[in-house]
Amino acid sequence: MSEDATLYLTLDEVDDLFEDYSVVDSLESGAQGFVFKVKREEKELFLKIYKPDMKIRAEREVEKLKELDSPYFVDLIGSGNIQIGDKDYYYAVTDFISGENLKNVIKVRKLEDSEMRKLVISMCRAIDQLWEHDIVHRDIKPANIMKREDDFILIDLGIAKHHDLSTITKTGMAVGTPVYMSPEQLAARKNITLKSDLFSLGIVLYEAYTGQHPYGFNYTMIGRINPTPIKSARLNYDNKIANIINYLLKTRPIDRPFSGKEVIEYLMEGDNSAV
Amino acid sequence: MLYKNLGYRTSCIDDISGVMLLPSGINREYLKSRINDNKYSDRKILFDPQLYLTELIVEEDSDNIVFPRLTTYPWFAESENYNSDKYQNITEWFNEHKENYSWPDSLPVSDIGINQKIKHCLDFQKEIKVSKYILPVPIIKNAEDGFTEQLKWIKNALEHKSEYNEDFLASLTIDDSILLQSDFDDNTVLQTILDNISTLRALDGIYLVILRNKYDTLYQISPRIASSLLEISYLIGIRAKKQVIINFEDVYGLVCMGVGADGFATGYSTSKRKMSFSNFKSSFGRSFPKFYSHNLIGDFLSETDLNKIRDNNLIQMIEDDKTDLSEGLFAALKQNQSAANVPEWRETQNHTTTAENNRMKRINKVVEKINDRDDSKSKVNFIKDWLLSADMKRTYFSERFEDDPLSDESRHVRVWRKVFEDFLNKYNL
Repeated sequence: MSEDATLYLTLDEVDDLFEDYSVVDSLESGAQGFVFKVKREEKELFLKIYKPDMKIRAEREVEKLKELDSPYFVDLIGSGNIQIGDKDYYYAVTDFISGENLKNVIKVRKLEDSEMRKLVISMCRAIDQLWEHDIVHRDIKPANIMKREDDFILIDLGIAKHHDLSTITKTGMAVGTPVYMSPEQLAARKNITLKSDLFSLGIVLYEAYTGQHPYGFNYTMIGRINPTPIKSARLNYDNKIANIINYLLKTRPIDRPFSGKEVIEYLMEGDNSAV
Repeated sequence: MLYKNLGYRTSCIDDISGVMLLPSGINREYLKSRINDNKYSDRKILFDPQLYLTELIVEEDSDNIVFPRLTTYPWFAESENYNSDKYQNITEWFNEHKENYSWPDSLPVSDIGINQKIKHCLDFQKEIKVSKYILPVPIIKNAEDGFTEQLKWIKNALEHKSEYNEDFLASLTIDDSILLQSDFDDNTVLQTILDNISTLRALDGIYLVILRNKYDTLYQISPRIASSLLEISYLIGIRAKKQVIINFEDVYGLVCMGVGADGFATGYSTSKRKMSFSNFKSSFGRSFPKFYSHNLIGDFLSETDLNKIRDNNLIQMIEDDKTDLSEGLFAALKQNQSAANVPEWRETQNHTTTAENNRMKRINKVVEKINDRDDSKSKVNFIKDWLLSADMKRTYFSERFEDDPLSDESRHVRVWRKVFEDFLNKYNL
């Protein structure tokens, strides 16, 4: 058991630790750390306190958020180190996203065509923006996508990787969530590109549109079988969305789109309503 | 577009609109003086930095001229600047350099070291007014590395792009062992290369060279290498919409142009047509005038082979390959004479100037025909028809010359055709 598993912070204790913020609620504690809803000058924010063994990963995530200024990612407000007991903890404060994560949404219903178009556009732009900074997210999955009204936001850049930096995991180990990984990511290939994120997005889109995982949540099938065609998995479907999913799920990276922009342009041909 | 590989010799017939300058063939100052003399002012100039030679050849295995030449270029080694006050001429400067040069044992690994080499190389290319920059990149020979080292060089170079006005092509120099290890679709190294190259937005294209550890003839290509060349040409050229220029694959470059390559470079001698370690060994091969037949995809000794073809009444099978430089040769053959009666085609050692120019001219004519075709389907069909026709003619020739074969071997034609047709079927082209 991790020694931090015993750490428990009351709202008052967190309040005392962060003078600039008033703590409103404790939201979750998980493998990465502890999340609180806080307020500063009436603005609601997230405060995330990372466990000490997550420090490097957390710092990486914060560094990447600093590079990005985009509506498709959460805004970083501040970050730093704080001492709790005899240990140093790393924390980050971000905008509060008052929405639901996509994982919870698709548990109860499939997305409509208009929602799918928004999801495609938001995530393709997010993936492109990461790639412009030479970053691959590497963990695109429903749980890392927040639905806020009509928008979708990509969260958790904790294992995203700069192309020119070594990974924080042991060499040769794939990092991410296996059932949403591209074939090359599963093979722990070096120098994966945005095309790997586009494949993961393909899995997310398939699941959101049909209610089924294209590979039956069995990662050993990824890249080995062709998923059931959309037309057989959903009664009424939009041809363009089906084609996009099919294009994103190509086994060889070279056969997938070269950018998110290419996907958006295809989606938007003759239709300006989804911008 | 066709580029002629040039080293020390300057000759390039007017028809050829591109030259590929090779530092292994000429030292820095001679090359600059040629540029200053406007030797290539009406041509598109490309310059292959040949960084791959740092890892390909070791000093004791080479003749003694390649190393001094290469070490005059600053991405290989530091060398003294030429100063006309100090030296009577470039030859004197170079002779002194030959006494003092040191060959680099390895490439830099630090960002600073890499950046310095890249900057030197780009600045030199700017000075000689290249039409596109070829980025120096180490050889791809280590499958475990996953293209990491090469990406470091490419990305480093791309950071300088705004300082230069022309397109940037990444030099992809692939050791043939990488291509031979598995079929294209199962080759993770190739998939990694294509994935990364196709998504580097600032990169305009690639300059592709396959290093041969071993080859038997100039035309023979392993099916795996042949299909990989087509795949790379198509996937980078057509799918990723980037430029592809191929070198050291000789007229197989034409086949690649049928599926997406923009051009290729070649020459007449072995070292200008294939890239191999053996090119840099001390021994010199003998060179004889050979007539290039595009119809048969082969080179035929001007007397030994053409006389046999004449005696079998088959001259009309290669008459389409005639250029203005070989009109006299054909006239002689038709009058039952031989190349021995045509001074520029006489089959004597190192008497190859006309044969060389004739070959480049004939190849260029075909390159122009491909370039005249606007749509990719028509290019594909042009190459398909050529290979099919060559295969049929070669089959007929094999029967006719069964008892007394021509010096040229012909097996490559069927391999090329089969690989090409398999490729078309795979992509439904």
